[in-house]
Amino acid sequence: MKKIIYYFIFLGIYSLFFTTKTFAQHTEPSPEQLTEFKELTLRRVNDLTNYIKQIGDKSLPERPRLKSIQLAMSLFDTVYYNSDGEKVIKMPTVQVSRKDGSVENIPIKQYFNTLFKLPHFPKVEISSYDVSYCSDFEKGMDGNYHATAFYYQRFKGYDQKGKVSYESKDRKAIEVTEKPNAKGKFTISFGNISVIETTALSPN
Amino acid sequence: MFKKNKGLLIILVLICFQGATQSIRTILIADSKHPELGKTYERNLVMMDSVFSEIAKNIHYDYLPIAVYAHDFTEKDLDREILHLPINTDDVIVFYYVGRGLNPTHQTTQFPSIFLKDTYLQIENIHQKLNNKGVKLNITLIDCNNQQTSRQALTIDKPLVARSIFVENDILRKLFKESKGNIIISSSKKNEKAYGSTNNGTYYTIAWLEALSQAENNNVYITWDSFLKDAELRLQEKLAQDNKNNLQHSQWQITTDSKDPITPNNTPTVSFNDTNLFLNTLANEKLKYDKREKLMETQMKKFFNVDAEANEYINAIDNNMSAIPIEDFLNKILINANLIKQINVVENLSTFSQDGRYQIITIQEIR
Repeated sequence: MKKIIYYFIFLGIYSLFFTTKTFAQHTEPSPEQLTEFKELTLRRVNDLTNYIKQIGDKSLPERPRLKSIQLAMSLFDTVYYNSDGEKVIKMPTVQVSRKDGSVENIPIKQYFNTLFKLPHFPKVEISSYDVSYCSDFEKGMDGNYHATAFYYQRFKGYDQKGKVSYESKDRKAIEVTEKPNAKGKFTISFGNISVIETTALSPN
Repeated sequence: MFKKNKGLLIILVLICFQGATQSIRTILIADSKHPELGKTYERNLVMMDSVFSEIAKNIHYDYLPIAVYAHDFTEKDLDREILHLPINTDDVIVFYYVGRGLNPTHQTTQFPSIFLKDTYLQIENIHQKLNNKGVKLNITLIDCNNQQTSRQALTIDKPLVARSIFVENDILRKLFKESKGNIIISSSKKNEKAYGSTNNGTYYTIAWLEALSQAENNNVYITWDSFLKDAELRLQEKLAQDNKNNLQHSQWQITTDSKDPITPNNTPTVSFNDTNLFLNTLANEKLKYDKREKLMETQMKKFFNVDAEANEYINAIDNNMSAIPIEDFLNKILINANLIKQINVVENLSTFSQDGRYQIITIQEIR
């Protein structure tokens, strides 16, 4: 009888160990993988800044600009699960600096659509003025890994005469999350974007 | 005990002895006294020497190089080297030349002549002499002009795609150990020049080494023809980066007989080279967006299954990242063409559907 009890205790411990190990294999990234996430995140940040540049560039045909909106949107996580495990659609926001120096939060989709139109500027140039940076990933309370990436954006809006009527430089921070999907594979997704620093270079 | 196993011991010694005598013998010649490009050619020679040494180590062959400079080496010297080259039918001979070359219009041959000390020698004659040695595999690779003038055109330095370290795999075995026959390659077709960059070397040699490195790390399937097609594709990418509309196309003649190293469950029906070319064309920002988009829409089904996905990695091949739908990936390439220098398909980390198209394609983007 004792032997049987020991056997079950052993089996229980073994199962627990085995389950934990399997679980860990699927959810805990190795240090090498975390380094790779960081590098891939920087790639995705560069993709994002490239999409933003093309969305705003009115000299390009509409098709690639609209495709850039679609691709930029795919980088953001719009599906969340609340504490009850229910699926919630939540659009991340982006802080934009205004001509008057104020800062406003707008939903990311609206931001891209506005950038696409920008009726006050016949010509728009958006570029990066410094190299993007990403902090190390750290495990959060939700079990996912989080980091913050920074990018540097210069905006130039031209008037009908081809003169720069508005120019600003923004340092922006973007929330990054690494989380496993149903297959146990990791996905990189972006959250809210905030303005860390803004300089209006030629406010009119 | 010893007596009992004496026969076995002798057989083992004989096997070991037999194995040790298989060699890669190289004759590497650089036109190093060329007034402007000598150093560049020397660099090419050193690279080739190092790569063939690694290949020999990898396939457990001895490496026996003869590395010489063209200005010290006459036709007689070459003939003597070829004559005294020990014959072992299991050996591989590689003849490599980089330097001045020409092909006068009155000559009917498609391959150029190379410059040794005081004369130009027809490369097909040299290749034939080496063929007559009767070795298992004879490779002749010539990187020089193939036109009236012998002056190569080299441009300012360009960054190269980093080569990775050789690891033991089936690809090198397939190319150098299991292939039998002879191959003659020249870096340019008749009436074409060979181009390059002053610091890195001639484009074709670099493209050849890159293709070898990529094949060795990324391919599952390889033939000499598919390998040389990939080198040609990489040569064209390098020329395109120069943006000078320079024309140079490699050419080759192959007579080989080899077996496929691996027979996986789902055999691809799409060619690795065609897939690489397709993706790199989509990422070629010099082509108009509309043209590339149309190419994507009309050709993607040829290469990819309907629900195919793409995996990307930078350094960690086991990054455990989720794959993205193939259409999203191709659109990403179209839009980010201005950021992408090159796309490398990693065939040995990709999977195929039952009809032989890519199910999951793994790629590395060079930016």
